[in-house]
Amino acid sequence: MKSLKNHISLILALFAILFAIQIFFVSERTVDAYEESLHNSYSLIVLSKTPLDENAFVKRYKLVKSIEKLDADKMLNEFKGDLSSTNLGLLKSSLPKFYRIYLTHYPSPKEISGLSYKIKSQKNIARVESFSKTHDRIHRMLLLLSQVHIFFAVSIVVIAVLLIIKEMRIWHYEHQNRMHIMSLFGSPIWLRSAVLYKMAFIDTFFSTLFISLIFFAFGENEQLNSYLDSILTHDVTLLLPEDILKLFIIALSTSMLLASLVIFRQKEQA
Amino acid sequence: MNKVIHAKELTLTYNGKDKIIDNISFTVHSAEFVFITGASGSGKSTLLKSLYGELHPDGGDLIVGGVDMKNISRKKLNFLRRHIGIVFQDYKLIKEWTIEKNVQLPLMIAGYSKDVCQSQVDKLLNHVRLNHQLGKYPLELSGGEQQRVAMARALAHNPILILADEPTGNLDDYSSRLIWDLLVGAKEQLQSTVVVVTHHIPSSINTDYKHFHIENGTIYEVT
Repeated sequence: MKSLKNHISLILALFAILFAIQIFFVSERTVDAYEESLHNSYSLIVLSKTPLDENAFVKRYKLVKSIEKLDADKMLNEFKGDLSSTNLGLLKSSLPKFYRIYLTHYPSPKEISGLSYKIKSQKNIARVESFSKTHDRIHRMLLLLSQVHIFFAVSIVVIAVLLIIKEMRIWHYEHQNRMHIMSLFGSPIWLRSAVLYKMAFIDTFFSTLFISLIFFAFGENEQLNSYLDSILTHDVTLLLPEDILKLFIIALSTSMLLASLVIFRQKEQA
Repeated sequence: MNKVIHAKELTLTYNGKDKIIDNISFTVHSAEFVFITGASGSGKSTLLKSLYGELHPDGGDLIVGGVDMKNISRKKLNFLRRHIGIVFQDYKLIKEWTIEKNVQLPLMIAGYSKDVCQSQVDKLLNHVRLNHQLGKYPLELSGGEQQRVAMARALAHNPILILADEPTGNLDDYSSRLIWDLLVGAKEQLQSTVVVVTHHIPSSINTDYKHFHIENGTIYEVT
């Protein structure tokens, strides 16, 4: 019971830090997934008076990933009943060539206007449609999400530092007596510290295990998943195997740092 | 006989200012039993602290076990302490550890094997009549029992020097007798040097001893 009490305070502190970090990982994946879906669905439409050399076009603009010619026949088919075949042929020959342009990443408004300007400056280009108003609104929302995400990351760091300082005080208080007594009998620093490092490792293991189990259970919960799907609109995995490794490394570094700080403080006072 | 403790013009101060021990000289030889008496606040516990390196001399020389305590390194101090057994008035047991592990502490630090530790702990806890309490924690024991555990710990590694600060200060007669018997036994059988700081010397003590008295910061031998 006593031993459990000694472990529980660090396990709880690590658990709080890891919980916040895992939420951060999930929100990071959500922002990435949102950005990815925006990127996949966004494209520019270019109207050209003459056919474009697609390879040369892609090579010319760094931001352009690929270019796809749009078939004008599909649009003209809608007018088949209303227009004669002669008129349709005339219309077809006078229509510009339509191209859809896919980009390498989801661009900023500045990148879009820059690219549009460059494309428009080509003599054969009649028009570039970048859907800038819609894009601006969505981009602003993405920026907001990213900023919230950064704010969250900073908050985690602050909380982690505060928790470590608090935990350091508790550990120092809990272990100074034992370490002092051991030193009175000639114990070298490594032996006095071994208990702390051992505790740090055990507590790291259990806090990572608990957090992994909780997020695994969240991931398996259908009700929670359907709720998340409805607000996130993207399929975001709550716990990946690499998350467990990352959380373990973060928790281990934190607890080892804590143990080292307590030992250093004890050494200063010895 | 070897000098285990040799103090020459030793001065100890409080915070480097107020002199508690002022320019004292004395010698303790191996296998001697020494009492240091004095009134409360006379500096006897301060003197004892300097013998195990908790306090450093502010003036003069202090040699313990052949080691100069004046500018002693941490490594040397640890080495010296591994050959000293200390009994404190407030026991200084590690409350998170069982009494078995507490007694094992000096052996563990000295690097003895588990088997050696176990047999020594069994023997000593038997001596202090606590072999039936192995798995208990210090706070589950009475004051007298805790001091007996501290005594067993001080003897565990067969130290060359045993330092005891008011070892029977708050104890019942039974525990006090047991502690004195063990301290005398350490001197007689293990040839350890024993230095005890106390208010008064028990009349029942059954060995030859040296008696120093501290008063007004100076020490003198009572003959």
